[in-house]
Amino acid sequence: MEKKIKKLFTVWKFAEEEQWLNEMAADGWELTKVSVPNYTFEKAASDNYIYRLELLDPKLTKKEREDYIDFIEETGAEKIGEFSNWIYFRKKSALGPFNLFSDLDSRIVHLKRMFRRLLLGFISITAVLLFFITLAAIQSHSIILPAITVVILLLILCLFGYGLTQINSRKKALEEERKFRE
Amino acid sequence: MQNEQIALTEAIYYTLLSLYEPLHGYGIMQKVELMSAGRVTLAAGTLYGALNNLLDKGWIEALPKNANNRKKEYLITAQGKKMVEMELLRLQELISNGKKIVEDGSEK
Repeated sequence: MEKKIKKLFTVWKFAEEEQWLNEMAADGWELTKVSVPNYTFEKAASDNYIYRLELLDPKLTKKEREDYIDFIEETGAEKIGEFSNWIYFRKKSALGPFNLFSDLDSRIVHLKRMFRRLLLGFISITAVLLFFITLAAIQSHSIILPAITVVILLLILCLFGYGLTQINSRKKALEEERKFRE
Repeated sequence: MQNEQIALTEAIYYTLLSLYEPLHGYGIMQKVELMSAGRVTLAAGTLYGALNNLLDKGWIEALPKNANNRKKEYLITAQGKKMVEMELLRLQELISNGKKIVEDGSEK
């Protein structure tokens, strides 16, 4: 039996996404395919797999990327999908616990990567919108079009600002802890 | 090599220790878990980062792949062994100072 669910998670909700996939697996629904925002689940014995998500460094070459995924797969996990540098891994729970990170340093690096990605997305969208605002201001005689674009820009600013704060506060908490333990 | 005194992380220390014999990634994870009686489990992503850092520093080397092992194997270098030895001295100092204070304290 198959079940398709549409769901959208923002970058800063990655922990919630991972948790959701593991809860689905615990209910007997195993993620088999993902092409955001579509998740395909298959009915199986309950609690068979543990799911983990990782945002890869966008600077990795194709070879380095494959090398990394091979390395993870050699430890008994499998890649079931990817979405623009996000890799979806799973491992049979019978093979023991499955984590991608086991110390604070690597978790901090992962959060920094998310922060940069979100910031880059934010800068690109702002640049495009600013371009449209300028264009609209020059071409149209009314104030309505530029005003709408400005409002959209402000909304995006709030959303991304919120996301960046979320990631940053998680990172800060880990960095505080890192001062006295690994 | 840096003159600065460094403290190795647990992941780096155990990875270096496990590589006194050639091992591939999963082998390292299993050996470290065994050595520490299950206390330390290195996650695959963290281990991969540690291995790359150690390769960059020249503390370990990647062995050439041959027909028998399709998985990449690693081995500690002379420099890596030197770092482990320095770390042992540091740990011994930590332990002896800790013991001195704690045991003296408990006598009072």
